[in-house]
Amino acid sequence: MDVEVTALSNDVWADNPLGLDGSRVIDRRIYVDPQIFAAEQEKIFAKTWQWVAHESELPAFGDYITGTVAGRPIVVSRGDEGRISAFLNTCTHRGAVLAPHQRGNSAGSFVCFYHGWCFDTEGKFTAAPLASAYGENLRKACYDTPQVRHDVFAGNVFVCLDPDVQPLAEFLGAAGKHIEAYTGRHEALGRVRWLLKGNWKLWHENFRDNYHPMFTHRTIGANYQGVKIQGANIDLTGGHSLLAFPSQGNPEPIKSLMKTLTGIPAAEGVGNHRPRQGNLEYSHNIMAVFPNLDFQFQMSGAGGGYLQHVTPTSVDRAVVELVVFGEVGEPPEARQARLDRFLDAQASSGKISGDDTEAARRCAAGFGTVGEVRWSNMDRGQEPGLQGGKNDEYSLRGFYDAYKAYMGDSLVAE
Amino acid sequence: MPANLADIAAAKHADAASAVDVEIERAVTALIYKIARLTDERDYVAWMGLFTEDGEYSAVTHENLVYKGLRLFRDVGRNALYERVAYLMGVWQVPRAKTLHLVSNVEVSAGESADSAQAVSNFIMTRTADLEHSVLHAAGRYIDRFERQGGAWRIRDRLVVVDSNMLPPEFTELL
Repeated sequence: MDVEVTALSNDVWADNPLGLDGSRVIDRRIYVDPQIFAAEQEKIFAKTWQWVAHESELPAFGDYITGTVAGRPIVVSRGDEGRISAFLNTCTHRGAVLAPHQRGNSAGSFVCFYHGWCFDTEGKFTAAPLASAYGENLRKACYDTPQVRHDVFAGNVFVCLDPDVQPLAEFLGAAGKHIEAYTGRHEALGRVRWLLKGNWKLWHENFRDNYHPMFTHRTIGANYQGVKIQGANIDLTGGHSLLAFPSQGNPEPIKSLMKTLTGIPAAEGVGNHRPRQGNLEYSHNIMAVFPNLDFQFQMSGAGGGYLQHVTPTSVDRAVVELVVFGEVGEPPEARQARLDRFLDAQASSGKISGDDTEAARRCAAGFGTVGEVRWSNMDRGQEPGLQGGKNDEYSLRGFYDAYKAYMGDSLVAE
Repeated sequence: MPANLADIAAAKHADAASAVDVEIERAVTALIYKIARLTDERDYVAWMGLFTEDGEYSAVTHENLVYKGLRLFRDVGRNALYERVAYLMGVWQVPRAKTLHLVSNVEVSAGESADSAQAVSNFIMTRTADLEHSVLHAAGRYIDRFERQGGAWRIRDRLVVVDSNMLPPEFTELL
């Protein structure tokens, strides 16, 4: 299915009391309505390419990783001659999942623990115990687990439940060249995941919104004091986007903030323990891929980065999973430093993402008012075109252009 | 610190350790309980004071402990601990909540000198947020190394191994 994501003739959000174009508002019902959530699963998650693993996480024959796409349990498996396969994670006999763990090794055969039916590394049915009791009725081909369309891009394994959507590279569009730069020569070093108390879009939006950091993250706010903020917010079309900005600001206001909070003067070096790249232009990239994936990579200095994908479990709960990457062959000291400190700001324990997680929780709580306060403003950046300043909302608007195109008549104008 | 995370995962640390003087065991065990109490009292500055100047506080999920050793964070030295204290005292806008640590199964063993010791212990931690009931927030293992400086025992390093591979949304409290 090819979706036209740029030209909407009848914008379902056009009739809003904020007096804004429909492409510049958000109807908050999309965060709370169970029927809209159900439609998202089938019209977005089942019809877009979904990241499930990086090839480096499946180095050996029999290695597998499991995931969930549009509510369906999925297995990605490494088989003969290094081939990657993807199939639904269910025994075709009675339904139990064949791969029970987040990651593991099948030793070449997925054996259902319930009645012992066996499947190879591609999910094909190979044998059932005591098969003679089935007589001539056990037609093997009927019992292969359904294959899931998959493709690999810059080491990233994507799957798509719909066999008719456009090829992966075409789907990624302008985002592709950035993904190649991020993960093409990298390997995954580990994952961390946490529960999000809020709708999945609240998390994904956060990586298209560079207006919030100076308020939500107090060290960033202090860091930016007196600074003319540089950077770009770019709609890459297709629902994808890029935020690019240099390291900027200075640590002195951070030290002052910490002294105020603790009552203890900050020593030399406090607030400045992370290396800065001075004025190297646009060294930090945050790229969002429709609908639920984002990459954050340093394009200079230590390099490396991470990706995150958010998987909804209900209209008001989701799981965020973060995968850290290091450069293949990097020096042991650099690798150890990455393993030790790279998550310092990330995950629900992180110095930055801890507050992002809180922002999702507070927005979700505030949406109890959706009957009275239905519309959110998404109007930052007035220049025409696809690109504005770091704090503008071109990226966010690009997401919702795509969102509305995929959702079609599931979003009802009232 | 037994920095080799694979060794820690294999639980070789405690098994390989030697017997410890009973007075040291008592002092170190008391220190472990004091860490828990100061944490639950939210006396973060006093908590920081229990570490040596070059002391270390880090955490890792069990999943990553046995994979490639990706830590949630690793604060090394007083400046890093000071930053964490500042975050706990208001840089983070995540509201602080009441916590309760229960620490048990403490096994203390001798260190490399008479002024050092190490210990492993188990913990469970509840968190009680405003207008919410208490929930089990984390469970896992402390792997500690201690030093005696000027007659007082201090934490040289603490590694917190978190059992769960699914973290709760508000995971910024001291573990």
